[in-house]
Amino acid sequence: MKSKIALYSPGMVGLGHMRRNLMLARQIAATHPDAAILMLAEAREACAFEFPARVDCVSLPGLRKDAGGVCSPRHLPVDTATLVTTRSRVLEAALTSFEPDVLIVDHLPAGALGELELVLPALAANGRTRFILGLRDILDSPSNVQREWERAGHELMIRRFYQQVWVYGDPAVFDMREAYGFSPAVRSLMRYTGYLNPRVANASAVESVELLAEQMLDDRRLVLCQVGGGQDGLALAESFLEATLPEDAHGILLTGPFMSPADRLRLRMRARMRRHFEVIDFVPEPLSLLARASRVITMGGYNSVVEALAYGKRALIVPRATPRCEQLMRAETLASLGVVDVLDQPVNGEALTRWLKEGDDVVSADAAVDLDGLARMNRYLDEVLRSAPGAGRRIAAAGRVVA
Amino acid sequence: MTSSNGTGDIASEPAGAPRIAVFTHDTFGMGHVRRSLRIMGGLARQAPGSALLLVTGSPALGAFGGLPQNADVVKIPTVVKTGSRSNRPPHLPISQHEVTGLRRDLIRAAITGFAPDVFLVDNFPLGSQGELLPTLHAMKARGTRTVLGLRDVMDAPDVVQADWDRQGMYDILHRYYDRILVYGMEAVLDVRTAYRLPAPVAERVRYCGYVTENDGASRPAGEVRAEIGLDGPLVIVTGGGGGDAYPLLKLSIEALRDVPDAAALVITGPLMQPAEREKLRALGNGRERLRIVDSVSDMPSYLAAADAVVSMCGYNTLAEIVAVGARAVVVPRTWRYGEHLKRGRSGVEWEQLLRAQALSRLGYVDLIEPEAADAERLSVAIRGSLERSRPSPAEALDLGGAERAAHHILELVAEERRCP
Repeated sequence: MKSKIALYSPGMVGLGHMRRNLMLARQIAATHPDAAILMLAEAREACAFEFPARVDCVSLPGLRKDAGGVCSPRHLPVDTATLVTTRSRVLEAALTSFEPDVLIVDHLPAGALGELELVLPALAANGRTRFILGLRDILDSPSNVQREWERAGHELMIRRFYQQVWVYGDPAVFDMREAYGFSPAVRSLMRYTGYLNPRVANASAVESVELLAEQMLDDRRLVLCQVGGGQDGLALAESFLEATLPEDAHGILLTGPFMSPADRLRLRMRARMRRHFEVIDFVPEPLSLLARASRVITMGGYNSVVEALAYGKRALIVPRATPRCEQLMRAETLASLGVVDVLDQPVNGEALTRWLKEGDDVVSADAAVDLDGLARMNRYLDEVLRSAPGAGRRIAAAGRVVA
Repeated sequence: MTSSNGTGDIASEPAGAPRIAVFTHDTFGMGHVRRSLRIMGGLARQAPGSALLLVTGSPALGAFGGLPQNADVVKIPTVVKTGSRSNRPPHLPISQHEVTGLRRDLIRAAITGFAPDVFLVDNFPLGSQGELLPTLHAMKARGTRTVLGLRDVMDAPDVVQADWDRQGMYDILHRYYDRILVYGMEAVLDVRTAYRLPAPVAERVRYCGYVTENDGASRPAGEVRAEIGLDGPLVIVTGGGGGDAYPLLKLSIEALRDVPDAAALVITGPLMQPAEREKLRALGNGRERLRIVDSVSDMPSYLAAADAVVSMCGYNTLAEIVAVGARAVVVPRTWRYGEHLKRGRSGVEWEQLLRAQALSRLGYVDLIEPEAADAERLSVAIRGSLERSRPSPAEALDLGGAERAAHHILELVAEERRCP
């Protein structure tokens, strides 16, 4: 079936949403040879990723959300209203013109700052587009999620527009239907896909990175430290460069594209003073480094954690606790299942050194955690493609009456 | 739009910084995007507080780290479908008609949403398939100043005139463009007469000079020579981006057989097809004084270290050669980009030849006319170049294009603010 799929990522904090959607796009492109796939994603960084055939992107000028939750333009010195107007008009033009059969929206049912509010009704009226909301395994603490969803009217948006709500997680790890107290109407739309396994989606990780790693490593064991996009990873990065590595190890710190140039420079200077430490700014697919690593020290973002699980690496999670406690919850839940370690004290070099001396390198997560998300996502997508547009909404509406 | 939906609050900031939008068509090669980025660099230097929005379908964008801090990008779907296997741009499997509609709507949405003081369009007044028309119309209505930037030479004057006549472009220029910036010199091509611009349009023309990095070589020649590791007079053969360079590079490797005392470095360029690159390597195999590389990080330093340069006559390569004062033998390309495999069967493109003729007349380069180019003539020309000193042309080539273009654009911003 020749179909058109659009995927929207709100951006704002880090690269996680974009990378998750890119995994979906790769999987859909590989299994739907006639599909045209349009990614709507923020930031010039979005265009730095390699897209598979039949996938192209429309990029939006970037928004930044600070630790207090306030949004402002990431690069452009214009007022936020101008930026949001530009973004929402670009989204409206892209979607009404492309007219996708399915729109997969990541995380926010109305988009960042409600920027999809104008276009969703227009798309719903065309009688062609079905809507899917994709949520990561854990959003935030139950009280925060309930407050935010209430305030933003997410549930209303879902009931009005969405056919399915995918959760890229495993209810045996965390069941958000229970935890967040979603209404029966929303629950009836929810499908747990399992975690999205990056080893399936990115079979061909970037070779040049692999080569680079080999040159630097010279047969030594690799300890990899990654701080996500990098905008709040400084404390972890500094601690890593203070840690003592095992005798035969080499440490690589991946700073991420959003770390400030001044911080990055300081870290690089510090690494230069230590033997067997290396600082790398950004690689589009860090998986080839991860595949080669013996151990991983990482923040607790969805992609970073799932990657460590998928590659069976022993991982120490140093979660971020603000502006939301999603990372802490994920780390602690998975630690209770015995598949990751979590640092339960303020991060410093000594604590990392101690962890590096403990235990085995290899961990098997397969039995404890469902990593089959991409295959299941595909089945749910086909279910939606076969359904009539609007079908799910009627069910949701009925659910509301019952509730 | 309300701030209560979605998550996060809106930070309020005063409006007022100059806003400039730039549209670059994703044509073949890397020249147009590089030129636009350099002009945006000039704007960022002269007006660091300005907001710069680039709208482009170019897939080459990711390869450039060259965006200023105060700039952002709306990337639209790509229409160009050629390129080497590894560089093949992404494209959507939908009809040409649909892609055109999508791009047209996206450009208008992005530019009208951003509401710029000035809208700069690179080279094609209507973009691809007339996609810019609704945007230009909206810009006129809101008082945004519009600027068309033209390369020094577009094509043969009669070809341009015929194209523009057929497409109604004179009327478009007259109606929609307040300023025409030429990234070249009147001494190279007088566009007013060459393209027969009617008087009201001709008045809007400003020459900016060539847009290039004119910082020159960042490293001394000795260092570059040591890196190459060959002694003797140095000949550098450059294919520019490389997507269209195979015929000349092949010819050069053959010609260099007859310049045995020279050390030669052949730089294919990142866009060359891998198969072509392999063929060149096979051809150069066993030649101890010949090196073939895909690209170098610091082209000006390499060009400056060369005793002779061989190249086609693309805009960026030429400007780089002139900027470091290298002696060059140029063999212009006259087939259309990416069509060297079916040479002669498709149309002829005169841009490079006209540029080369003008620059050779002014004393900057030695020209070998493409139909006369064979290995023997090329080797004679290379030997001649090695024997002579560096060029000392009569008139200095103006390389201040990025700064001057930025200056003209900012003047229009000021005018628009005085008289919206």
